[in-house]
Parts: sequence; C-alpha cells; structure tokens
Amino acid sequence: MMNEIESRIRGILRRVARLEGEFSARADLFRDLGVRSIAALELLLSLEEEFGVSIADESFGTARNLEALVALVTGLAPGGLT
Amino acid sequence: MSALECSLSAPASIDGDLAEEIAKQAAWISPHVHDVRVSDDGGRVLFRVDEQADAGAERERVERFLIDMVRRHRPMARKLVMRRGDPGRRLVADAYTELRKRGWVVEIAPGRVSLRGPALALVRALDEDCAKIARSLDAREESHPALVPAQVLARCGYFASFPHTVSLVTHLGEDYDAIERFRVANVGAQDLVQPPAAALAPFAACMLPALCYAVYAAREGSAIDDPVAVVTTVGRCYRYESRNLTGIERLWEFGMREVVFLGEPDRVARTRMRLLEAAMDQLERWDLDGTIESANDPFFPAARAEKAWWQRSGDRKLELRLPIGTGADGAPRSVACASFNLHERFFGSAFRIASMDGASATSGCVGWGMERWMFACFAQHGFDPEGWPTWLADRVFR
Repeated sequence: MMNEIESRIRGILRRVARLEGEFSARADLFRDLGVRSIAALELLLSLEEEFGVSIADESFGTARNLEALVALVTGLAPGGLT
Repeated sequence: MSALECSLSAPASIDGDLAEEIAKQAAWISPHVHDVRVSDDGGRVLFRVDEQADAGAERERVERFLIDMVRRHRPMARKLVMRRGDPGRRLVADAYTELRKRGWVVEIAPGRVSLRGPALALVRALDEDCAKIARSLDAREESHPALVPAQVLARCGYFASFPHTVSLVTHLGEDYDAIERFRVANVGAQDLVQPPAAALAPFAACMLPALCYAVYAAREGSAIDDPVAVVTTVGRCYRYESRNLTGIERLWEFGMREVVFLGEPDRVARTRMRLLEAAMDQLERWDLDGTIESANDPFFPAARAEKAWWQRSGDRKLELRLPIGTGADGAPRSVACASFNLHERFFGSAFRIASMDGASATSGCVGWGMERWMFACFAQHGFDPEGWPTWLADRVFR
C-alpha cells in the first residue's frame, strides 16, 4: 500500500513540479529538487483531490520531501487509503 | 457622470480578507468600472459601470478579474505573531487632515507628498532609529540609485508578479524631428502636450519599487564571506496604486529604510527574528501600539493565488501594523508600517550569489515605510507634545 501511495505522489510531483527521472524520497523538494514555490499550492490541491483528504497548511509546510508527504497523506486517511 | 449599477454572482464564496483585496485590486480592471465590492454574505460582487461604456464588455472584464482572484484561493486567517497595545489609547480621528491643515504634509499630487516641520523631523528620527537597529546587527550602509535597470526587475520576477504597480521610465527616442515637434507643441502651453507613443523609446529602466532589489543586483555573481551579511540602505520607492492613491496610506513615492541579510538559511531566519524583536522594542521606545501579523504582497490577480498562499502559509511575510483610527463603518483601521520577509534562495539563485557553503544564498529583508509610520505616530500620540515620549517630542517639536 505504502509503495502504491508513494508511486501516486511521485506521479503528482512529476506532473505538477515537472520533476524528471528518479529522485530520492528524502530529497528536499524545494532545496534539492528545485521545485518552484509557485508549484506548492498546486501540489497541495492535487494531493487533496487525489486522496480525498483535507491537508492543513502547516502540516504541508513541514512535509518537505516525498517520504514526509507519504506519511502525511497516510496519516490523514482514517480508514486507510485504497 | 451617470453609471449603471451591476452585480455578478461570485464564482465561489468570498471571505472577508479576499473581499478586501478584491476591492483594492479592482482599481486595475478598467477606468469605466467603479466601486467594486463584495456583498456582506460573500455571494455577489457589486459594481458600477459608466453609462457611455460598453457594459457587456466591462462585465466580462470584471468576471475575468473575479475568476483570477477567486481561483485557487485558499482561505487563511492572518496569524498574530506579536502585539503591543494600550487599551486606553484614544486615536486622533483624522490625523492626515490635521497634518495637511498645519502645512506639515503637502499633497502635491495623488500619491506624492512633501513633508515639513515636525512631520519631516519625525521621519528623520525614525530613519536614525532604524539605522541604529541595523548597526546593532553590524550592517554595512550602502546607497543605490532609484532608477533600476528593467532587466534587474525582470530577473526578480517583478513583471510577472506586479506588472500593475511598476513605474516604467522612458524618454523621447533619439529622433531630432520628433523631439523638436514635442518641444514646439509645448512652447507657451499651459498644460503638457503629450508626445505620440511612437516617439517614446522602449523602457529600459524603472523606478525602484523596493530597495532590496538593488542590493541583490549589486552582488551579482559574488560570494558572501560571512555566515550572514547584513546591509542597510535608505531611499525612495515607487509603486503605482491607481485609484487607491488616496491620502498618505498609499503613496506612489515613499521613503523606506531597509535591512537586507544574505547567507545561510538558519542565520537568515535568526536575523529576521532579531529584527522582529528589535521592532517590538522600537514600539516601546516610541510608545506605539501595533501588531505583527502574517501577510502577503498584492500580487496581480492572475499571479496571486499561488504566491500569496506561499507567503502566508510559511510566515514568509510578516507585517507590523499600527492602528490609525476607525473607518466610516466604525471598524478599527491600521496600516502596515514595516514588513519582515524571507525569500529562501530566490534572489541568491536569480543573481548567482553564493553563501559560504557554496549553495545559492538565502535572503531576507526588513523595510520600514517612513510616511506611514509618521502618520500612525501622529494618529496615536496626537498633536500636543505632552502626550509623546519625551525624547521623541524633543526631536519632533524642537
């Protein structure tokens, strides 16, 4: 399940932030991978839509890599994600 | 001039914060659209269109504006970070009118004021106080021209974010005949006769909208040789505000003292924190009420949602707001008199400025708006020196 969520978020990152190739789940999206700040809101809205969750701005602000985004999304879905 | 009353359904429900921004930003929709406001329930947008204008075309323009304002808007309450307040303070009802009546402020044109006497003395005292704060951080003083190369602002993304407020500088092109025609047209003329647009050279310079852009440009391609480098500068800033250029709260030209800091991320963040604390100490010295709150810049509507959210969500922009009285509706009014900003690596990367670790430098800046501070100070202390802190009264009313 975790791998599937990670894969879906990777897909969103590729589309929204135009990330190409492989990237580490621990790489800082903005500092290391060069995701532009202007893409952050679209990333947040895309995650909410894809997983049907509501993400607090503060929580999103501290989740700065793929691994943290996976944990954030997973933790927000009470019945687990399918 | 008569006008048609119009209304549109809001594309989405509009909260109070956004309604305020819509009212301000609506100034740029069209010269034929007036008094744009959101209904109390947030469900409709009301406005007036000049009768001689094409009402259908103007409505469509308002609709496009609204879609841009509402699209992706994510409500986010202003976060109160710090506060200093005296519940017993009584504010002067209309300090600006009194300043003008006394001749201390002269409005020479919308958005441009001349200062004299105590108003000028107060601005000078503020600048000295801010410079002292900067020196306590070992800031180095710099001076920069008000005329900034347009290319510098392009690289700062200014035209993509604030195309509506930038003041473009041009001149007549090098065409002897066109210059002579302009000269002759203005010989003996009481009013300016404008040259044809074709006689103007493409603009290559702008009036500086904030001092820090010049600080970054002057460091292009360099390396910061301290964990954090602190710079201070004072000068004039220019932001066109269209119909919002009323009174002293929104000026086209205003004075600013800035402290700019570049280097490693933790040191930059710590420097901003030190400046926030220094600003609170400053409120004590000046005996002023104020709050420090999260904020966002007035981005052009089509560029607004993502950038405003980024600033607000990470407290990347904080404003010091000073109370100035109450509005016609009795609600308390305040004005932003200083801002405290973090830019991450945006400017370091745009101008290839390296920090000690070799990465693009992180940056931040703090700016004080001179005229607004002066206005708020008179609104809070009044015009009798007795009500002022002694040291300040000695400086302002001597």
